[in-house]
Amino acid sequence: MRIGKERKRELEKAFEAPKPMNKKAFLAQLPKAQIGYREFMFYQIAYMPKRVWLISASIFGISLYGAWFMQRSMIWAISAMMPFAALTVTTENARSAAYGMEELEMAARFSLRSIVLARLGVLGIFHLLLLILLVCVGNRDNAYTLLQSGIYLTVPYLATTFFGLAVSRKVHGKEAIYICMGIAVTVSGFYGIAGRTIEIAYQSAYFGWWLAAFFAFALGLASEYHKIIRQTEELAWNL
Amino acid sequence: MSIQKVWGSVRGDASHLEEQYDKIYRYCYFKLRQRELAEDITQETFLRCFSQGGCQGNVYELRYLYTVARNLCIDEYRKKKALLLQGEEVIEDIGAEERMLSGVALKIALSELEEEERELLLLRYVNEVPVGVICKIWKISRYALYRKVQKALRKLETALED
Repeated sequence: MRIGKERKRELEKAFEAPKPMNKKAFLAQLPKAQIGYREFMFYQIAYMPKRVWLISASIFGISLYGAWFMQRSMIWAISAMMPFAALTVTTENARSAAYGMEELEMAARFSLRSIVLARLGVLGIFHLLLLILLVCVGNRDNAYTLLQSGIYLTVPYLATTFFGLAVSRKVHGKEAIYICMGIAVTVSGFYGIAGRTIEIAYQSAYFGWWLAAFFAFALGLASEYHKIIRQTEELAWNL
Repeated sequence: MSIQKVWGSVRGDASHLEEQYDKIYRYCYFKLRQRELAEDITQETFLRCFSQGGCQGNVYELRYLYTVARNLCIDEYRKKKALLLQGEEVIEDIGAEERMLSGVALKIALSELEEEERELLLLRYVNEVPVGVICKIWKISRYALYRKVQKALRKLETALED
């Protein structure tokens, strides 16, 4: 036996209680549980699209496969995959703007700034863990030192993230995502082609340049994060 | 099915919290038939849930809310009984019964049901508490709950036909 909508409405009326007197005042005073930063970050994992995790895991999975079974000369190929992992970070950052939800999310209880920072943080930690695993696996045959492997793989990742975040900060809408994709493909193509043709770049003599690039992009990335925070603050004040 | 129904919980933002407050208050009023007492119990329920970890972040656990409200109402019954035994007068909300059960045929039909059956209809169809949550509050199986709901609905329809 099922109950119809009409009967349901009648039941609601039948069980109607007199209006509460102190509801507003009580709810205004009701203590709100403070959410911890770690808990907040944990909650954000559930709100991130599954494809972000799947793409990241697939890219690192393929890279791990390459690092495990291939020879030392594969480092250029693996590093050419990294920009696509970085692409998930930049597109996640540009997602709200792409769908025109930026201003609304800034006005929400958990502002866009804290959400973006938490998501980038979560994704960054996830990628860092996978990168460490990749470096350890890729370094099995001791072709390079751990530091060298780490730097060779991190530089394209940092470069893509840096350029991608810079673009998503300046360009709004879906164009930002397309440009980020273009950047990822360009960086990946550069590492794919240049890594093959200029193998000399991976020799220890040129490692200083790699280190310089690493620090330059890392500093640039930190500066981009800072600018993103400032930008969301400014826009929030304009609301 | 919404996340709210899956988790049996409710997001702690203002509108949801107000809605939840109204539902718990309606439940308490149904149990106690006294406006002020029902509101006191409702507020006590929320405060207890908050202090005893019945909410995570700002999410109140439905099962926890209803269980606390139910237990507090039972405590009130007992207090009322004790007062009656001592010969003291309990001031009831005048006309409360009339307000709840007057006018329409449905209200008369409802009055012919047992208290438990009315409570079940209120929880399931008025407050829209998910089946799983009611089963946990009442500590019965889904099948037993289904049987009880069907019996209550049949009785209600029969009473309406009469």
